[in-house]
Amino acid sequence: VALFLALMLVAQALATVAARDGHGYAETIYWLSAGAMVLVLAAVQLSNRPSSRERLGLALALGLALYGVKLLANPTGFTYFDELSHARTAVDIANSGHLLHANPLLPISPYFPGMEIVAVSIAKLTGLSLFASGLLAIGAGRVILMTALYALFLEASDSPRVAGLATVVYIANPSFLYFDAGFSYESFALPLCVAALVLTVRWMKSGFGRRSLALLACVAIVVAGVVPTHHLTGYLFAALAIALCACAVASWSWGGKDRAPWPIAILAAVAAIAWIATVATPTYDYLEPILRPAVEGVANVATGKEAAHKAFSAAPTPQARAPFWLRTTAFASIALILACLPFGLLLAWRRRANPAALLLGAAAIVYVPTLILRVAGSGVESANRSSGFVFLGVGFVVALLMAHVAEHRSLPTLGLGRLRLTIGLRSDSAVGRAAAWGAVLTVVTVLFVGGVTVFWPPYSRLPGPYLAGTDLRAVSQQGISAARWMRQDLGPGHEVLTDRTNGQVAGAYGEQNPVGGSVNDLSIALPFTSSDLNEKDVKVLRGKRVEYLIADRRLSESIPIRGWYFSSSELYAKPYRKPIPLQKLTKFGGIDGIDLVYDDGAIRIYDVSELTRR
Amino acid sequence: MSRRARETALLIVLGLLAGAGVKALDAGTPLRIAAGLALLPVLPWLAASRLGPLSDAERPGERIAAAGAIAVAVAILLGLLLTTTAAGIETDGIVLGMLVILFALAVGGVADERPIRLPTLSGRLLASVTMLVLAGAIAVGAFAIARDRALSQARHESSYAAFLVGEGSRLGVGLSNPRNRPARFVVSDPSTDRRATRVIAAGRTEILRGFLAKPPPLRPIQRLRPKVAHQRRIEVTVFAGGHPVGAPLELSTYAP
Repeated sequence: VALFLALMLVAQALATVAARDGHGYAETIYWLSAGAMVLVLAAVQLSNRPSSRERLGLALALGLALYGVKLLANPTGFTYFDELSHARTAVDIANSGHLLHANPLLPISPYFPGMEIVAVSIAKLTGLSLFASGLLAIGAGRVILMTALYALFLEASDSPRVAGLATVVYIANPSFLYFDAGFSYESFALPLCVAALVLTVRWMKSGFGRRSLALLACVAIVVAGVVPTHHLTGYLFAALAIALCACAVASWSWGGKDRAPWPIAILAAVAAIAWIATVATPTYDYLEPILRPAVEGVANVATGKEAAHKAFSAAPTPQARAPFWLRTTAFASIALILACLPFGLLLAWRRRANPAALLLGAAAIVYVPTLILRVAGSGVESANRSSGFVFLGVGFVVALLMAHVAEHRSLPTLGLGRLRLTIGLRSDSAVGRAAAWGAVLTVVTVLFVGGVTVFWPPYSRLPGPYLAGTDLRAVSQQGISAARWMRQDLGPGHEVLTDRTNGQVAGAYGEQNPVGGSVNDLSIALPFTSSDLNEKDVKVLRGKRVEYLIADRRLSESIPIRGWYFSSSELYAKPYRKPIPLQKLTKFGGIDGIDLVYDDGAIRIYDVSELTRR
Repeated sequence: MSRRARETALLIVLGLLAGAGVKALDAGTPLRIAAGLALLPVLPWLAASRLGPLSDAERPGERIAAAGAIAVAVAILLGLLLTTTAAGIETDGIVLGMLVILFALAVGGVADERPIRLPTLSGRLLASVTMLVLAGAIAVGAFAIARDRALSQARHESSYAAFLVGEGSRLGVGLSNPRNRPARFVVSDPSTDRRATRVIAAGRTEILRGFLAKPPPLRPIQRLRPKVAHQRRIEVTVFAGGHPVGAPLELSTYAP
């Protein structure tokens, strides 16, 4: 299996080479090799042959191989939007040795520096770059995550086969392949959270005495690591611990004997609140504008005030839209999960004496509200981000069902009063068995392909030439070189106005402060979209105290794939049908107070500090 | 000497060796990387897996996950602690802190009650190990393929650059050649017909000192209503292999 996964990684590497060369068949290689990894691992986990330890090894191998898929696409530096944001925090910590430097790319990041502390520590100990150290830190997190997932699913199901299958279904969640493999705080906090859950479940089974206290100390250490790493993960762990208490109490009615982890729930809640109250005080101001619109959006759609978000068809440009077969697979993956949930929950209910099974069943039910979030455009991001947690439950209940189908060649009987619904094959033949296996493996593959498609538009899965208005594909060597020049020759900490991606690059590689948003009702895009530099443009420049403008001439070659170049405040203007003319982007030369200080053919940097000086 | 004491001593000795390696070896060398990774996270991970509540874990995965999470969490807590000191997160502090943590974890650990059973050498074992090594080598090869192509794209995207450098009352012109062969830069000021030529070696940057005058500061009213000024434009044409490369680069300042 390891050899097979390695060969599939070679195919992935060739897919990235073909994609950088602009060959269309790269996508085909990508999907075939990634799909084959999941399909084969699911088949091995479905069989009865592997021992429990072997299944753990298989889960770990798949998790690491899929981490490899992400590394192969971006093997030379941080490129994802979130990675660049956190790279800035890491650079600040590495340079100063201290915390809480303002991060203009992601203001909340310095208040949750757990991942960056580990990456910087590895960098200082080994002498490796922050990029390599970040990869190692996230890689260690991936090992913790996969082993913890297997242990948790095994605890809940008491079946190595279900546990192995559940890890495969879990990796089908939309954020696993790329988002949870990136250098971002959630990627690092999630493994710690799952490991803390495993320890908590273990504590529930331990008796009273020294061993129990020692386990409690272990949980406390891990929770103390989660809380300063990621806000929502810290709160979710507290919520999961409280839910586990409720599950334990409920399980007593059905013969359960595990004690409720109240001390852990209280500890987690107190730690999370203490961190917000004493260190991460801006957390509420950061989360509220993200979570409130998501909830309000759903309410507005329900009351008809807002049109429902149309998945995929809302893509602003054709390049941002997945092809028909992928869109169909994405919808099929959601439909399959919804279809599996009642049967899987029934099987989880049969394990109701086990609080862990109850908790994971409850987590699976949360999948439905997260789907509802998707009806509002503002809720899509929250729904995608929550999948790493919700799939703890979805993976468990779907795996329970899969193991059941493979074993009995039928779905569990659903009953309501005297009504009984049984769906299955009566045949005990090899054909029947093969059909059951085929159905299970098809479901796993569809879930994986659909999950990736739901979160990631086509241009972001594979590398390639520069594409304007995308995060990943707009990170170019020219942008990085310009950012490094700024840091070296101009010094760090200047206010810069540029497009979104070059802003991230300037912030992470150049330690500059990109400005965003708007000045009153004037979008920051105005200075780049007006024909001549006018008073409104100057108002924006002065309002944001801009010192340098970074104009990427390549923006004039294509419309923004995402729909906007600079800031979402551009969306109030008409959508782009033509790229911004080059003259508008580069009109600043020769104006009183503006110097063109850098040109590399693609990127020009204008010094406007004389104009905006007060 | 008991098994517990032997394991504890071995962890501490390895930790001390790793700490010495981090202090003595050059950054980024293979041995230094190995020493650094031994201190964080390998040895603390191993030591944490010997802690009493984890060492008797029955479920596969529990022990690895919990020990790894503890090793990472203590590294985070150490980092937070170090930032309260004047030096902050620095190599010496991390080495000392990780050694103290390793010592505590190693001493607090217990010996596994299960006897150590070395696998008997068999054809199946040899084949498995060979396959694993081969798989690892193939995965590294895949990474090398992808990285090589990514680097070649980065090299292709690397561009010649020109930039202005402030030098008191004058401005210099910086010329950067990131490519892997020398290039000739011709810098011209069309308004004065001034021209200078520099051949810049691969990967080097040079500065033409004091090429033009720096403009005076603007008056407040000029800042509010900027006008098109008399532009001082500098053109930089780059030649590689005797041929011009792309359109001329531009730099400019103003002369109000």
